[in-house]
Parts: sequence; structure tokens; C-alpha cells
Amino acid sequence: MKTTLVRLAQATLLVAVFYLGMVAISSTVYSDNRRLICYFLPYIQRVGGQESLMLADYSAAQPYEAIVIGSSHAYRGYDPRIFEAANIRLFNAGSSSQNTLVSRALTEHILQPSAQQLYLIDVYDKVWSGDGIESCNRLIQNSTSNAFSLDLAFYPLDLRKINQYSTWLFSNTTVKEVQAKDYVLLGYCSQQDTLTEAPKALDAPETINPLFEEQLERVMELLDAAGASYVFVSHPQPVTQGMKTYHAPLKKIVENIAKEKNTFYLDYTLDGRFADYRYFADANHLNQQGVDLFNTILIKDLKEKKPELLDRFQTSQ
Amino acid sequence: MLFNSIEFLIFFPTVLILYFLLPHAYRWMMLLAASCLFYMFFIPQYILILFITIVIDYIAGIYIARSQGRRKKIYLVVSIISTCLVLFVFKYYNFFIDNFNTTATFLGQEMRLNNLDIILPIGLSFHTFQSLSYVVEVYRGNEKPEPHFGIYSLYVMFYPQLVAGPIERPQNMLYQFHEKHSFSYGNLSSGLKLMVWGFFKKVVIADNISMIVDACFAHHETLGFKWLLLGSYLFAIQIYCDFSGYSDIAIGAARTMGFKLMENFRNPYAATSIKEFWSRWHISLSTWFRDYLYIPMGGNRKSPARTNLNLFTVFSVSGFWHGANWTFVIWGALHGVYLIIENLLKKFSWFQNYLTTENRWIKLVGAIIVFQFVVVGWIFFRAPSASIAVSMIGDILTLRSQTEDLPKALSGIHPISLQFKLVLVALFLLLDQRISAIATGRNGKLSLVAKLILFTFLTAFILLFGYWGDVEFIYFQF
Repeated sequence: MKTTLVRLAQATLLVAVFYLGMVAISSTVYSDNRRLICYFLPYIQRVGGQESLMLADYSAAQPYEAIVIGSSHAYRGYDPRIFEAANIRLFNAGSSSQNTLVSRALTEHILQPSAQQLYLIDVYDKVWSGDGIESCNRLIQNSTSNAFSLDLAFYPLDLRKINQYSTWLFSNTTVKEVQAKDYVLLGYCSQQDTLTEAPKALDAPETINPLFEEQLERVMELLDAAGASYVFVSHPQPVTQGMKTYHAPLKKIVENIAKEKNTFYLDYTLDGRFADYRYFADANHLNQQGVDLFNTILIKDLKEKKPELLDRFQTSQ
Repeated sequence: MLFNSIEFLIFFPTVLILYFLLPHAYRWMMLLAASCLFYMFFIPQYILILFITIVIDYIAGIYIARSQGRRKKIYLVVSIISTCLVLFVFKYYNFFIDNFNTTATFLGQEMRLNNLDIILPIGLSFHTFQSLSYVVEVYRGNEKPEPHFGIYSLYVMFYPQLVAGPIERPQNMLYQFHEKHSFSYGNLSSGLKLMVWGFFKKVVIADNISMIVDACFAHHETLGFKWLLLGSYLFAIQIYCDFSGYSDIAIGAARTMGFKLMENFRNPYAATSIKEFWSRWHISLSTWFRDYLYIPMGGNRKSPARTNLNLFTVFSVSGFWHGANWTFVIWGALHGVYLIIENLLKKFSWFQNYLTTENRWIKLVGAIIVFQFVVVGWIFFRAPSASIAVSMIGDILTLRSQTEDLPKALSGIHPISLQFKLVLVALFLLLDQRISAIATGRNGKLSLVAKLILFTFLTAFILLFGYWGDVEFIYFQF
């Protein structure tokens, strides 16, 4: 038995050496301004982009009064400049395909909520499904916090995230492999394109992943513990076939959670004021014209629905 | 549970450790419980279907052994019909209904029957065949009925080969569950080596080329013959790596506990005839059909015409076993035709000389030619319909041209990524036999240190370059 254990230990050590050796080589050799590993493994995310700028910006201009968490709907849908004009200092912590698992890690390790803050939790129908690998890997690759990267990489266990973490360890972060041309400030990206025709019907979301429900619960616990407030928001989308059918049960879930937590849910998904395609850049996202209208409506609704949430920012100026 | 999942990474060592920690008397219980858990990771309630077939064949085995003459035959027939009925309902019912409706429409009848809204239980064809081999062997008197219900259940449900074989025989398996296996470093080491090689074939080779194959078959209308040929060749490699990879993992996992499962693949693409191909490809299934269908039908003991008819029937049925679709039937029938042609060619001395030659170059050319015929079969096997398969083969044979270097269908794959995958495939083809021989213990020339370095390197390669998305094994659908 002793021989077996010694041989297994030797084998494990050798596996680790070979693994790290291969990661080191494929993460440091570049072709066309991109590490080789990015070609070999399509799920490995590149250095740079919106997530990189967002994480760097966050620490630069704290504290914030309002914070948005969510997917690309979030970082393309909430313009800090419009909120600033309404005397609200907002940071947009959205990231690509961000699900509640990523939101939880982000809230816990990076955002670290405090009392008096208002969190706008952007939820869209697909936030409950999918594996969230792309979202995790983008943040792992562009993180400057080991605890944050470790959390994302190892919970729940998935080799694609662990491989991204190993790649991150050997990455040269000064070489930007991808640019975020539409990045504006404080996590926000603006799109100027305009949708010219009805988008294709989007696939209905898959079944709800219970892990994502559990992680949303954790996000709310973290916010409650810090004394921060939160509301749920769904931003407008161009209405496609089938959307009305699959949106209704998912809306009910968020409404129930909001009711249980004594907060509210502002749902603009099928809002008729955004029926015109000129407000959208593509099948998913608002363009700047749409964001201007949406943010103005949102601030007004927030003030009407719960004035004490926003009034305190004005009095603290 | 998938072998290529995080769950299995926890499940496998836990079962292995528990197996050797427990006293012999309790091991079957633990293995059975673990096998149930393994199966229930797919669709939990379907374990009841498995339970029903186990109960039927367990009781049938006892009654068959106790009876004589006509009664004995009745028990066998009842057992076979009831086991096959489950397979028919879940796998073939909708196929027959669809064909019935199509025929009715063709004949101008308005009668339509409804399909069943059911999902095929994973690996149903595999454990059905394993159950059938038990009752037949008991009927033939080659095997005594297993009195222990738990051990018999384990024979059907043993987790390594539960969902995709190898399809075992009772003579090879049942006694092993009664034997006491002591821990052996040799078994652990050789079992793990086989598993590593199986995983390499599955997650590094098969899964990494699957997206190229999928793109080539999905967009066949826009692709030139080079891409269609590449897609077809790669599918031949994908299905080999996928299925033989599963078999290696299964055989290896069983071996770590001291169980010996039968070999399922032996370098099939080196075959210099179709007959030889079938003695190297999915051996547990081809020998099953030989023993339980071909020989009872008369095999080659009757006239040459009858032998050829038997071959054609057996291979068509084998195709139908793979899936309820005409493409599988055509694939099987095509192999039947190949074998008939080979039988006819045996009348010529040059062909006899070719089959017995030891000349390496002639063998190599022969293997390349046989591979082309096998690939034609794979096109039918993989294509969504027979008409698409025929159209693809036509486009390849007429050398349909294409102007783009990298077709739009494959534009999601970066050229460097494509080259990397093709280099991996080429390296695999060069090294497959050597590494397989080392993994299975047929080649003991390599030193202990060299083996350690080789298999730890392969493990690291699997961890980093394996495809770790949700990809099932191709043969799970059967």
C-alpha cells in the first residue's frame, strides 16, 4: 500500500509539473497579439476588454451611491452620466453574461457593499440558465484580486474555469489582447448602432439552474448584512416571438423574491414605450438613444416608487 | 453520470476505496448501490425500467433451468419477448408509427397514429442485449442460473459497462462477482493507464474534432468535396475515439477493482478486409450477433446463397440495433453487402493471396482501401437522412469545387485552432497503436519511468486540452 501511495504522489506531482509547463508555454507565446492558448481553447478569455477597464475603474473613484450588477444588459443599459445629472453617483458593475454566481463573487470580493448604497440588480430572462463559463472566465482573466479569481475558478468546480485561472497566473496583463472601443466610463459601454428590422426570435431560456437562485439569495444576504438597499430591474428588449410566453413565469419568480425581501421589481422588458426599434442597437441591447430614455424613466420611477432611496443621495451632497 | 464529468472524478475513487475497504460479503451491495447512483444521474425514474427487465430475466433464468422441453422454450420466448418489448416501446415504437403514417399518406389513407412522448433510456440496447445473453446461455445450459438476485442485478448494472458496454456474457462476468478480489498495484496501475488513454481519445481527440464534423455535416450543401471528405474522415476518427475511449475507460475502471471485461476494439482501421474490420470493431456486439443470431440462422453451414442472406440480415439488424432510423439500417445493410462481395471475391486466387499476404505495403494499401469503404458507411451513419448521405457521397465523387479557403460554416473555428486539432489527430493516428499496446499491457518494453512520464503527460494534456463542455458519448443514444 505504501508503494501505491508513493507512486500516486509521484504521478500527481508529475501531472502538475507537465500541466503548469504546458500552461506556461501556451500562455506566454503569442501569435498575432494573442496567446496561443486562446487559439487552442476557445473558452479561454483574452486580456483586456470591458471587464478589465471596469475592474480598474471601480477602485479609482469610490465611493458610489448606486451600483448596477448584471449582464451586458447592465453595462450597456445604465449610463452613469445620466445618473450623475440626477445627483446619483452610479457605478456599472455589469459584465458579459454575468449571472448571479458571478454577481455574488463580485459583490463579496470587489464591490464590498456598504450601508446607504442602492444596488440595481438587473435581471433578464436568461440570467437563470446557462453555465456562466464565459462570464466567469472574463473576470478571472482580468481580475487583480486572487481571492476573487480563486472563488470564481473553484466554485462550482469546472475544469474550464480552473484552466482559465492557471492561464491567468502566467498572463502578461500589460499586453491587451482585446480592446473595448465602446467603453465610456465607470463600467458603462455605449452602442451607437440602430436596429433596422425585427430581430430573430431568441431561444427560450433553459430550465432554471437552482444554483443561480441560491447565489441570488447570497447576494441579497450580503447586501442585507451591509445595510445596502436593492431593487430588481429588467431593462427593455425588442419584443420577439415567444418572449411574452416565456417571460411571464420568470417575471413571477422575481416578483415573488422582491415581495419576500420587501423590495420591488421594475420590469421594462415588454414596455410599450420602447416598441420602436430605433432605441436598440441589436436584438438584446439598447443604443445610446434608448439608454437616455430608459435611464430617465428609471430614475423617475425609482423616485416615485421609493423616494427615500434616492432622496438620501441628494441630502448627502 | 458521464465519465467525463467532475462527478465521476469523485465517484470513481470513492467506489474504488470503498470496494477494497469493505469485507467481501458487502462489496456487491456497495457496487450495486453505486451502479444505481451512476445510472440515476441521467433520468432517475428510468431505473424502474431496468429493474423490471432484471426481475423478468432473473425469474426466467431460474424457471428455464428448472424446466425441460417445450416448457423450457416457452419460458425463454416469454423472457425474450418481454425484454425486447421494453426495447421496442422506448426505442422503436415511434419509428414504426412514423413509417406507418408515411405509408398511409402515400396510399391516400387519412389514418394517423400518434407518437409516444418518451425519451430513450440511456444505454437501453446495451443492457437489453446483456440480459438476453444471460437467458439464452442458461437455456443452452452453458451457464447455471444465478440464484443471488443482487449479483444478477449487478451483472446487468455493473457501472463501468452499464450504459455503453462492452456487452458482457454471463460466463465471463457472473463468477467474477462471487470472487474475492484483493487490492493489486498491478491492476490499479494498468486500469488507470487504460482510463487515461480512454479519456485522451474521448475528450482530447473525439470531442475536439466534433465541432468540425458537425459543421461539415450541417452545412454540406455549401461545402466543396475537400471539406466533405475531411468531415467524413474526421467522423470516422471521432466515432472510433469516442466509443473505444468509452470502452477503455470502462475496462480500466473495472480492472482497478480486479474485474476483467472483454476487449471491445483492436485497431479496427488497420483491417485489410471488412470481415477483419468486424473482428476488431465493437467486438462484444459483433460476437453477440454471431453467437445469438448468425449461427442460429445457420451461419455459413448451409449454401453460399443462404450464408450471404444470413450475413445481410444480421448486419441489417445490427444497423437497426444502433438506432431507429433508416440511415442506421442502410449502414448495417451496406456492411452486409461488403461482406457478401468479399465472399464472392474469395473465389479468386489473387484475393485469397491478398488476404493471406504478409507484405506490409500490400497490407497498408489494403487497409487504406478498406477504410474508404468503412467511411462511406460512416457517412450514412452520421448523416441526418439517407438522401443527405447520398448527396454528400455524390459531391465527394464528383469533386465539387469551392472557392473559399475556409468556408463560412467553419468560420467560428480559427485557422490556427483548426491546424492544432488536425496536428493532434495526425499525432494520435501515429501513436495510437503504440500507446494502446502499452496501456493494455501488450507491450512491456517501456521502462517504468518512461511509462510514468508518458501517462502523467497524457493526464496533464487531458486536463488542459480536453474539451470539457457537456458532451455525451455518441453510443449513449443506442
